[in-house]
Amino acid sequence: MERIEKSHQVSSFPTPDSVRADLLRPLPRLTARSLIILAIAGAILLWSLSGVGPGPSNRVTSIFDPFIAMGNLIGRMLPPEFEVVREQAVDINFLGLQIADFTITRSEVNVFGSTWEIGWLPIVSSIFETIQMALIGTLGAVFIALFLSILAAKNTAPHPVIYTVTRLFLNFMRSIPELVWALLFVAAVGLGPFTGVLALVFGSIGSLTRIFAEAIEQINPEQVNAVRATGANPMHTFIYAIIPQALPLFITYSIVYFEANVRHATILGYVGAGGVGFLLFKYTGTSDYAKVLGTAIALVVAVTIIDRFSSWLRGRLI
Amino acid sequence: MALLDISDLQVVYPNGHVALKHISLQAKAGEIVAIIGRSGAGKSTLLRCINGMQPATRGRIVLDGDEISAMNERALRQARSSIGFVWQEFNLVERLPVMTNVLTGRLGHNNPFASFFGYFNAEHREIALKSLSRVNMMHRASNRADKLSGGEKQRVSIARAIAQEPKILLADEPVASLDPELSMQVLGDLARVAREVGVLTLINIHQVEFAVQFCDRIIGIAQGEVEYDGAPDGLTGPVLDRIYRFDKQGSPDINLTPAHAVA
Repeated sequence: MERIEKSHQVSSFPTPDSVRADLLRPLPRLTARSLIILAIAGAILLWSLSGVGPGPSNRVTSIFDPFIAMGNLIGRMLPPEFEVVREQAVDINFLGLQIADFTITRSEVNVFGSTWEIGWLPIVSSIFETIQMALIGTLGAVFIALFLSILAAKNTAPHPVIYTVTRLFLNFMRSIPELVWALLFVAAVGLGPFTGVLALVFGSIGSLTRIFAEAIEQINPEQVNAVRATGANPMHTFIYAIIPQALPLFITYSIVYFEANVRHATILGYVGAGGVGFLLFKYTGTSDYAKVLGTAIALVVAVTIIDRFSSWLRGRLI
Repeated sequence: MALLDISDLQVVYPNGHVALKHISLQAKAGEIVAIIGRSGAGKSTLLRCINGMQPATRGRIVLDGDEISAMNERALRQARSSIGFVWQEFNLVERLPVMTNVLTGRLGHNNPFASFFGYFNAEHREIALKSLSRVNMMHRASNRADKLSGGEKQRVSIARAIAQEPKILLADEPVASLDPELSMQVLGDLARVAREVGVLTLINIHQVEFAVQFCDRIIGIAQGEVEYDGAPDGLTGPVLDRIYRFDKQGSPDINLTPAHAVA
């Protein structure tokens, strides 16, 4: 009996000598287990490659073809162009109060012998619309996430069942991307930026609530106890003890989601949900690749400005 | 009639540990009481029972005619608004300004709707400022709590408790996280402010000499029972032995007694 126990001990607890031998080995030991794992990983890789290789419609015969094709496309994009509309009616009003009403017409100017078109650039209003969508969509999602995160954090959920149900709901929401929400909402409520805002809200609340809930779970519970001990009710405890502690992460992630939503909003126009995507859809549809590049350049400028602005804002708020 | 009346209080934790065996004590308004005893003697449990954070297994706690030990969560919230609590680790909400931290002491008294939007009227703000000036922390009112030193934090936390205009003030090891010099100053402030506003104060404390210096009455707890309850000058060597060294009977005497307590 004693001997069985002893041998058992030897097999489960390595002796200092065997540990030393293992640590001195320059290459890891090849065991049957590690070989099987390598084989499985290789098989998964091959299986994935077999599913996504070029098909007959890709006109690819060698490894260089995709790059040559892309080079040709870039050649057709140059030089970039911006669309100037022939006539744009502008009606500026603030909450029904009319401020100005005029029409911008396209005209040509000669600068040192070369001709330029000046007039209304639809890309400008598209980018503004995209930013408006991202701002309202993110704020809507943040507002909903603030309330949902109370139910989705272990330390604030009123009941474990509510916590589990909320987390399941969030997983469901997170598995549906913005573009799919946009397709659904275009079918349900029609075209336009409002549809895009709904898509952004529904596409963000899943992840945003989860991140907010995790911020709430990381707070110091003693500070919360101290406020509760003054006779504060649960709502006030949340406002005065939990939100202040979680606020830096709330702000950081709200800004991250705003930036992400600017990019998401860009693509939503493809399915008719407003923003720059509509222009991209139009230009690619007519093979007007110079204007596609122009749009891309305008987007890069806008996204850079927004990134700078949001990191400045984050610095100020935290 | 006593403001605080605890009779035959017993607390058994879910793991079977008996924290308090049977505690009975009364205290009058305005008294400043030190509770001494070894770590694990049940001092903290006693304070947590009085503000209802720890339910009693048996016995009654009556504060100003209301039985704390029989309250539901709603009634307990109401009762807690007049029970101040000072914590060992201060537990200010670090990212909020000092003033807002003190105003959280008014949450139980402010209109709940107003509190939701962070609105406290001039009357509540006046009380908060008066509490801050009592602990000489007015100059820190606009600073964020995490910018304060340990001693300043504890003074603000005393102000928060005083801003509740409490019937009773409970302090659980209020100076255990501070250095000896700061301990004496902060404890001195706590006792002085408590005397100024005339609030019944219970202070859990490890430093016997501070207890003797600042408090009117000492309660010694050992193994979940009251071992001593009386004036500071009754804390003689044998009494301290019973409180602190009940498991070392007959071992050579180490003088725990401060000189002026024996005299």
